[in-house]
Amino acid sequence: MIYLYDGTFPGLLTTLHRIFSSSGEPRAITTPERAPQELFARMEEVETDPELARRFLAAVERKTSRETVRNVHHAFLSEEPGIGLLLYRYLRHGRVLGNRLDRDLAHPVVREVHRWAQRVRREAHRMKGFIRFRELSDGLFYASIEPDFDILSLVEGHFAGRFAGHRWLIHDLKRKKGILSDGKGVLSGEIVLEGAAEFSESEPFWQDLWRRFFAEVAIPERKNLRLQQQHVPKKYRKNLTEMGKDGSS
Amino acid sequence: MPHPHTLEEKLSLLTAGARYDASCSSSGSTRKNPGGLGSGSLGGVCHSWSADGRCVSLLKILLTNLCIYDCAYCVNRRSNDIPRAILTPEEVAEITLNFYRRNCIEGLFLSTGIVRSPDHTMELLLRTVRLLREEHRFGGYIHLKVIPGADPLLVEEAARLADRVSVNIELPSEASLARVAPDKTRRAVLEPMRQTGDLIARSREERRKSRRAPSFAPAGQSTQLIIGASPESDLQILQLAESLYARMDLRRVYYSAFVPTVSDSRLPALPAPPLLREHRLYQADWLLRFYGFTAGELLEEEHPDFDQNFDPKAAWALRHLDRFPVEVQTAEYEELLRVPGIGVRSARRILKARRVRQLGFEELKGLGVVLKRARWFITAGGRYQQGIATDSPVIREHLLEYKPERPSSRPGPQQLDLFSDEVQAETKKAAITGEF
Repeated sequence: MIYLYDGTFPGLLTTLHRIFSSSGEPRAITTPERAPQELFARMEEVETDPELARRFLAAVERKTSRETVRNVHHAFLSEEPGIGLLLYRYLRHGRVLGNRLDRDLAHPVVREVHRWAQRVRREAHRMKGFIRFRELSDGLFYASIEPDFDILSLVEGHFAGRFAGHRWLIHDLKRKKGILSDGKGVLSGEIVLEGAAEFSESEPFWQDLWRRFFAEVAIPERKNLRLQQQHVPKKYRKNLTEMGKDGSS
Repeated sequence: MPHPHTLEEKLSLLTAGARYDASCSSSGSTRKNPGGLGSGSLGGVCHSWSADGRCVSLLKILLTNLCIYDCAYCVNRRSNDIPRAILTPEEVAEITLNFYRRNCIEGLFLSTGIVRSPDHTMELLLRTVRLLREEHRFGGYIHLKVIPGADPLLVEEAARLADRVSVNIELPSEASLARVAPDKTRRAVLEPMRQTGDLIARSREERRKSRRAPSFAPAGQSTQLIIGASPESDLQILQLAESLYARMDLRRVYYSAFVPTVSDSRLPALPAPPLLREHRLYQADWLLRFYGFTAGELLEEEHPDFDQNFDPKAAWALRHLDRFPVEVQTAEYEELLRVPGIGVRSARRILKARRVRQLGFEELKGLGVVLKRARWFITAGGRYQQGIATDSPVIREHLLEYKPERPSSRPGPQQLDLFSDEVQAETKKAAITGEF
């Protein structure tokens, strides 16, 4: 049976609940866009039930651990094709090992789930450093990102905790969504851009000052561009003013 | 030389003057600041990486590069003919806050030259930090330098306002300090360090009883040693670091390869900064702090300097082959840590994973063990990995940190280039993660 869900986390949880409640092995757990085009495949479309999803996750935590729940959520955010099936196998193994699931590091499924979860967490952590804001003419601080994984929810708390008192927006260009704050609360949702952004009058001054600071920070006798490149992959450089248009600093 | 006037010019100059301080950490703060600008991030955040491969996480500047002292190694020394500038507390605050709002930094690292006297200088620094903390309610990270010889009341206030404080020893022995930086006495440097260590220890005790007890330097204190500007051996430097960790409640010792910025007869004329030596000291430092080694185990009077070709852990293992092999299924954590190729993370994973199933070499590889190094020193289920011979010269060959270039792969000279970018990148990565 091929299970189809809406691509959201509660959607996946609803689907997993359905699978565990029935017998038989799933062949694939995926979204309609990614579904294999087979004429005679048996497909079941699962309608997301948020309350059921919540209860399922709570039951998973009881049977395994909070760490397992974290891993399931973070691995899901990788958006990797096949992550649904992988997480099914992970939780099935969890039924056997219970709260020892995440200790079984030598098990290939456990290891794979951990790897994806760690990649997602790693990108979220790096994003806390690489997300850069620019002040717009209306006083909003705007940042755009193009992360590999869907990490917005993982950085929301970090920025909400430090940027009280002014309005800011982080825009995931790839996924056309973002998080917006008025300095107190945070909203997340779809973003549609209308027109080009206009920066505040002082914004070019601060961008220039940052570049000047950055230019003086390195000790010339210790120059090591390879090491610098290792730490800042090209995909993140677009957004960093100090790294210049061609990726050099 | 004309003195800089604009904010841009001053910032450029005062950034260049501060870059020789190696400390880059923004970790250790759990400061929360609801409603205000800025908070801590426990693990620290790297916002960028400079052209010398170092993490940029703080606005690292001097308040001024004016200085009444004349320390031989310092670019800001009194007798050096360079442009001088000073920033006002308001200017420092404005730059810090604007960079912070753009998420370019985690906070401020403020150092300075000495103006008029240590106390006067300390007060200038405190005025700036107070402005940020109290008027602007800034909750981001602040690393504040402590001036050697400053009054204890000022040192205490520095620790109260900042997340981390540091005072740099720079020269690893009293004799070297006296010859090269006579304005700073050993006592003047160690007194504030001792005082801060006491404050931190006491505040930790008090806060265990009451959350509202004042917090002093929650991210701890650190110091720096310059490597290669003076004749001390690696053993002497490591022993100094060891006793500082034991006695002064230091979070970190930083080792900074000497970069000749001014020529002086009291200093060696090095062709290049001793980066390999610095790297070995960082490796040894990690072994002291996380792997349970002592300085005396890593070096001895007869051989007081590190091997160029082997990292200190591998060198130790080669001298103590009688301690191996170690059986991964049953060995103690401390024993696993001594195996080259097993780092702290892999050792922890082994401990977890082996309770669930028997570990073979494939599993060990998946856990992050570097088998190329470790397989000479471990057994899994009583067996060595297939096909290895355990005599010493072969092991040495496999533990060499740098492989000589093969003749066919690249044109040009065949010698080992220890300072090539590639080699530096690899070794620096290991230094940062501490896994080896």
